[in-house]
Amino acid sequence: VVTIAIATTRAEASLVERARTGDREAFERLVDGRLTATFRIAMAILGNEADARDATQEAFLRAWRDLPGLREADRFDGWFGRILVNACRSAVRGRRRRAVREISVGALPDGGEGFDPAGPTADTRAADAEVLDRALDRLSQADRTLLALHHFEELSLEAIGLQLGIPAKTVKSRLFSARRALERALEVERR
Amino acid sequence: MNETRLTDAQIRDAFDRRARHPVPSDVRTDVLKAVAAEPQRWGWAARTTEGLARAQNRRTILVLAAAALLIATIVAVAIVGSRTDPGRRLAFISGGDLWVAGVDDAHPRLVWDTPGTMVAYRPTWVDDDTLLVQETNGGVYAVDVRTSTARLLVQTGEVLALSPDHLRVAVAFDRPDGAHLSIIEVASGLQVNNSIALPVFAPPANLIAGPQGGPHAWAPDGTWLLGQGMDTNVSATSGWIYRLDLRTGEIHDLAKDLCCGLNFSNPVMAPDGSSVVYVDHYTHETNPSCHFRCGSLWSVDPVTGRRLRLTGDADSAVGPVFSPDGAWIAFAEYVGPGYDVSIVRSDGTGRRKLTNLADVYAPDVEGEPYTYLAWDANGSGITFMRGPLDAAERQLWHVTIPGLQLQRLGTITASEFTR
Repeated sequence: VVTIAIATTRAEASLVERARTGDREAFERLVDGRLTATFRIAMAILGNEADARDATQEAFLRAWRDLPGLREADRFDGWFGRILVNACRSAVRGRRRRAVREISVGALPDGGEGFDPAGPTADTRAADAEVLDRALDRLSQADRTLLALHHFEELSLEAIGLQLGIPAKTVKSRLFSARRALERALEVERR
Repeated sequence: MNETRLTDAQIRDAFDRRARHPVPSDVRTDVLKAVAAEPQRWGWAARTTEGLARAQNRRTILVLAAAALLIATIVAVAIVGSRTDPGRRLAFISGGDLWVAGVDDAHPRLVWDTPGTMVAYRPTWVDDDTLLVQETNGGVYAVDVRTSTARLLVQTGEVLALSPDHLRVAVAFDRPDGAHLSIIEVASGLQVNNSIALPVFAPPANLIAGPQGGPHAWAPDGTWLLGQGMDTNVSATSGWIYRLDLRTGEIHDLAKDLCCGLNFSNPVMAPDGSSVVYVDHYTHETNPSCHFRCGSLWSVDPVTGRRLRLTGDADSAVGPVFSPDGAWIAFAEYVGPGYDVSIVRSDGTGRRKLTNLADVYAPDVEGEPYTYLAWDANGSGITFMRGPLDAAERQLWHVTIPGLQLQRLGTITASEFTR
């Protein structure tokens, strides 16, 4: 798992300090160190290249613009994480304006086999993966972000709380809700 | 039942697959081009931050901040303390833990700090001192709010309804041959009936506890439960509301072919069991602007099956909740982009909008949360939640029916509540 939640090193803090005072070359090096991870987390949350590209660009642009307001350089990573989450949110809002997603009302298949968390067979694994991916698309952006930060970024409840500006306890309950929503969406997709 | 459960590894792998996408070669160029054209923002906030960081007199700043906090606290306490409408105590879930407020809705107290990653949900008052709570691992607990102790009642099951005398609880269990319903005595945790096989539904489907947390889903005469699910024999768009006879296990239809699959129809039983009110949601074709967010309220006689429409074709209602005397029904009315609280008499007359907020919370397309509107015990007001539709926790508010006075209850946010 590539993570953007790595602690800001001393060298990076120095780059942040320089970028903060308008040094574009220093900011370019910060971009290079984070571009892949940033794009990947945007892909995990948004699920398509166009939105992930928009969110990535927007996140770095906002970071550059607002860097003078960052007081402590060693907090750059958490601060940038918040910016990225907000950029993903904006990307989703823009997408909603462009298209309305319909919930399938197709007829149900016969039978009602369940998703087997213990381990699907090789034949069904690819199909299950595709279904799970579609279920992720059904989630609200807020739920998907939470799950991505926890399961993909592997951030602690406290770290997620810092990025989202909510208490760790609240993160816990929201994670539960998001997981339930994903399980329900999966059930719908399997019909 | 037959609910899907995902492992952490499955979720992680799903995100890994989504993220396994090469970074397009021109993204870096685009980012740097955009940055090159953008000046940095040395606005008021940045300058103030810079100034504060350099300030020699930080003590003065701290004193001013503390004074501002003190004033805000005094104002908040005064507002909360001014509410004098007594009623059943407010119990709510915040941060996954169980809280109970005082009789004046102020001074909330943490009564169950759930261990580890466990999250409590669906609180239901059994009596003045006991709450029934479901938790994320499937357990059902009886929590004594005086002593803050939680007693495990059921290891794994789903609470469906509380009996009219509040002594027993109907719980659904998964078995290899399907979901079954058992009646459990709250005091002892013992099963007191022969299990009843539940109808086989396409998931998600279940019987419901009802928006008041239980009693309203179990008929006052003790003979039947209100249930809902989807009729797998028709299509995914076919919602089904039924009466489950506890003596025979037979199912009697109350409403079928309801739109839409995911939209649980929020059925609620009148306090005297004489009617069931539910929502028939709109389809995209009948009302594109309100797709999946609203519908019409209907009432059905559980014995005769006679139906009555309570709100009109173009209306936008969800989440009905009967008043304690059964004369009125509160519901969430969609006004875009959110909801307001409205009431209508149980015969469909006297409709009245109580709020003008457009951010009242209503059940989502999956019927969650189970509690979103609650009447005061004397029917003089309604507690509800406000906040964004995708927020996990929201503010608790109250509106009086005479006078339409709005007031926020405390400062804590909640994912669910009950009275």
